[in-house]
Amino acid sequence: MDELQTKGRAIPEYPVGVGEMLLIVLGAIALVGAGFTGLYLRVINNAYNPQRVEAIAKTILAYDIPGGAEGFFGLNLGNARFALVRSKTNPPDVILFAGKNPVTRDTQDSTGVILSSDDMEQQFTIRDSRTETKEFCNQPTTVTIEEGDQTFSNLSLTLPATRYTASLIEADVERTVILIVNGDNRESKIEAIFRSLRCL
Amino acid sequence: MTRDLVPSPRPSGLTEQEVLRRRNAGLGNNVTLRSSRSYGQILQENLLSFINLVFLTISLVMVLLHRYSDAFLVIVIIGSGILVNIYQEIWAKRKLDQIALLNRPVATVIRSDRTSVIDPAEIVLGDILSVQSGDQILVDGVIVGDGRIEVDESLLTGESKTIPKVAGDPVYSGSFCVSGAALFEAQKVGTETVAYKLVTGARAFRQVYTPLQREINLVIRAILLLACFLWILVGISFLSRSIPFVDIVQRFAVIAGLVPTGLLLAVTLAYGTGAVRMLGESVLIQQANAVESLSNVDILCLDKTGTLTTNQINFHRLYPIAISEADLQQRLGNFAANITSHNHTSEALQHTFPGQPMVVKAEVSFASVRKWSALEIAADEPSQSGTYVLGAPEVLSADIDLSPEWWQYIEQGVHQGLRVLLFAYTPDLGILDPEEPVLPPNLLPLGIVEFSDELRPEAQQTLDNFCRAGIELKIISGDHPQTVATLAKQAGFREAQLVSGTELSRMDDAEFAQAAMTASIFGRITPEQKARLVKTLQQQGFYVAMIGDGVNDVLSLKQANLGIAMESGSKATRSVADIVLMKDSFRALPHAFLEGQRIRNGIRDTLAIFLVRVFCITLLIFATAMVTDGFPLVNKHSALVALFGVGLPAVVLPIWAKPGANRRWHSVVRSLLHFTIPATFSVTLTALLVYLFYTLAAILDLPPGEVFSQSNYAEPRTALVTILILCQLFLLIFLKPPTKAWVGGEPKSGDWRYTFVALGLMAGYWLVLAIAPLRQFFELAQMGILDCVFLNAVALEWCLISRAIWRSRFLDRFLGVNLS
Repeated sequence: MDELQTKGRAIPEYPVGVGEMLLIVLGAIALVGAGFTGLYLRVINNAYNPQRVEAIAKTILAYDIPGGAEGFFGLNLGNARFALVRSKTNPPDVILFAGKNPVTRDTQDSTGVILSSDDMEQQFTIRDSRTETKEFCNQPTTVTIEEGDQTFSNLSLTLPATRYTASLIEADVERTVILIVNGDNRESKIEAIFRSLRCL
Repeated sequence: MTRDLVPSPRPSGLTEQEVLRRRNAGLGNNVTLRSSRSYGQILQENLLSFINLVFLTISLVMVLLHRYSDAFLVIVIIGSGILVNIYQEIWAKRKLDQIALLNRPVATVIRSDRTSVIDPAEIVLGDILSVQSGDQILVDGVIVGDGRIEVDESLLTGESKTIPKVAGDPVYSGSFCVSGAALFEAQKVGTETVAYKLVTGARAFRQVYTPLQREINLVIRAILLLACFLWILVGISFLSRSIPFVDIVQRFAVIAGLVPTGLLLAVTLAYGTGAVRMLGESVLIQQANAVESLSNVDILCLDKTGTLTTNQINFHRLYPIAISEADLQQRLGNFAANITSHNHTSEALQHTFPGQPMVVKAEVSFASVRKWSALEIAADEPSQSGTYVLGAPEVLSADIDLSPEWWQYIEQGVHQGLRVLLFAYTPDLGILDPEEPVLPPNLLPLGIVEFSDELRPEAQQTLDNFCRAGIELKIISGDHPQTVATLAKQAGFREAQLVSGTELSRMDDAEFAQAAMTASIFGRITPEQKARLVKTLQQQGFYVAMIGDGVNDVLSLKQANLGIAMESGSKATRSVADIVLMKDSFRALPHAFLEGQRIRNGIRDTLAIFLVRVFCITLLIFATAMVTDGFPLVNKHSALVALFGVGLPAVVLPIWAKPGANRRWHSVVRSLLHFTIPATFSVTLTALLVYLFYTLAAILDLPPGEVFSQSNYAEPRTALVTILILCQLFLLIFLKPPTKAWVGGEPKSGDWRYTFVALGLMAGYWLVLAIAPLRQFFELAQMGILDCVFLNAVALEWCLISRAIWRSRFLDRFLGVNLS
């Protein structure tokens, strides 16, 4: 028969060594790293998904780009969304950058997100700049019109281009649009596309 | 009682025809004496619990909301658990009923002038029943004839004093004959008896919960309160926020799943299977919790005669004082032959010295409280007529002047462990009043009689085992303290402190309590003193078991936390006992103790995983409410976590539990704090981080145009369910560490079976996740290989962190308390 006992067995004292602590810390770092890597990859995959980018763009603005457009890069962070779409030509003659993000009610300040039309494939160099008041989202809005050169680094190609930049705060939401058109008839084309923009 | 020269004729009883007629007329005692829970009780307790009704209501609402799979799940998972429990309980009940049937009390009845022994169910109204010392009175009736008995009605009235009963006095079922012998006529049988009306008889009146049962009840009630609080919050959220009704019902179901009703059923089942297991060890369990109760015992009180010894009382030696040895033998023989209420001592005398039937004018039966018996004999020979008294020398010596030589002889006897009695006489007649027995005056000592009793062969080893286990032993006996001490020494007691009943009677409450604590051998103790000793020890915080066999032990057995009786003991003692040692198998007691520890350990392990799950889910509900809009789980997820994390492990934990102490803390919940608190917090935090991580991922995947609250929670919830199940299953390994590497929360068990179960269940869960129909049924999202690897890695990291927290006793230091 087993020995009777009523005194409880104590849990042995095992020290937690430096190696064990190191293993825990390294494990935690590895997991956090793996997690953030996973999130980053997810963000990147979503950001470069053309259908998703176009869908994001269409939740910000309705637009009409001659010859059609495809999404290039976009982010959808809940209420803050950004999308870059461009025409299907190579190199693209139209690039539309649209953003929509909430602003604080008290100050009506912008969230400070700085939008740029530049990306890894093209840069815009300003030669001349002026402002005009144009209708944007059914409201008279100051539009910055810049003339310059658009350089496609991967094609080693520089084309004359025009850029429209407009921003409007309405109902605690800031909408920003940057439109670049290059080529010979860029003034009429950019004007037509800008007029086609409808806020959603 | 006075029996004249011509005693009143013995009633001849009913004829067989009368018995048959009365039984056919429905005047029989054919009620079923319940030995365990009834089928109705089993069904009622398993089916009609509050929480089951909540689940049933939720299922009905799910059906109304067309959530048929949810309703099906609730019914199948909850229902199957209930059915398994009902089946196992009924199986255990049938086994127990079979053995209890063999141990039922029997009735001695006089019919057609013949005495026979029958089953109590065969008694009919008007039967003449015989009752003597130690018998249980089975039906209500009235005393007839010359007999006189003293009855203990404490089970009915709560008062412990004995009540004399003579012709015309009523006797009630559920009471016990303490001394004397008499006949009584059955006047109420079956459902009309007092005992039946007070439920099922004496045993039913004694319901003592063990500390473990009390704790489990407290835990379940506390969690039920917590669930009610959460239900109220969910109800308010329905009114204050636009949450769909179906989501509210889901949340109600998840909260209902927190209440660990399965724990209560596991306890009942563990008790039942424990009782069945003990049948093979010749131990009859009469109270469901008795085996587990034994494992709580701090102090084991033993009656000497019949418990420590075999109760085979044999005549040892005679020492004549004023008369010749032959004359003394004749008078002792006559005395033994004419008393009506026999005990083992008188039977030994009767067996050694045959006597003649004589005219008895009056008799005072032996009672433990008096320590003497007396007989007034009117003999043809005048020198033989007179009043004879046989009793304890120190009691009789109040009226007898014993010389130092005789005292020395008595002392020698008791130092040899013998029972020493003084036989005295007075020629006076008519001085004995059975109604108010008083020791007759002017007694002349006739001789000293010595009896021997044998120590049970297994007593020493059994008591040694208990001593080594840290259980304090106390021997409480009606015999002379020195006799008890001598036998105790033979049984292995060393340097025991002696206290006599006379000394106890002179003590105030404080001194009495001190004596109860320090002394270990008590002699010349009355039944009331026995019960008071047990009560005093309980008041000092001890968990006391009492082992006895005689009717004088009934009071103390009832008072004790656990009453144990010998099978050869009186029916009364067996009837009030929680455990009966069949075949007087004293050696079976340590087995029962180990079985009790096994039951306790199994329930403790089950409680540990239940507690972690309940508090972990509760904290997650609060945490996710604070950091997100969502509810962490839906009904099916909750069921899955309960099934894999707790339900299935809880099946093997009580079965594979091993004996062994876990008594650093009396409270089981307290003993689990070192394990459960770090586990609960670490699992909750890990699960919350995983949930938030996957929620963030879900937000990143939000279709354009949708806001946070429209996120798809399928993937976060699947990740949460997965990590909860993995952590719970790893927790099972930590609970029963197979190797030193897993030691932190609990000592090493070396048992790999739990690890295999945990790994098997993990594989089972991954299968559920991999098989599309099962995954869809449980509303789980499909997880990629990388996600599965990631979640496994998180669970392993949790294992490392938890082990470090346990081993470093981080929470102990932080909280400034010793959790372990």
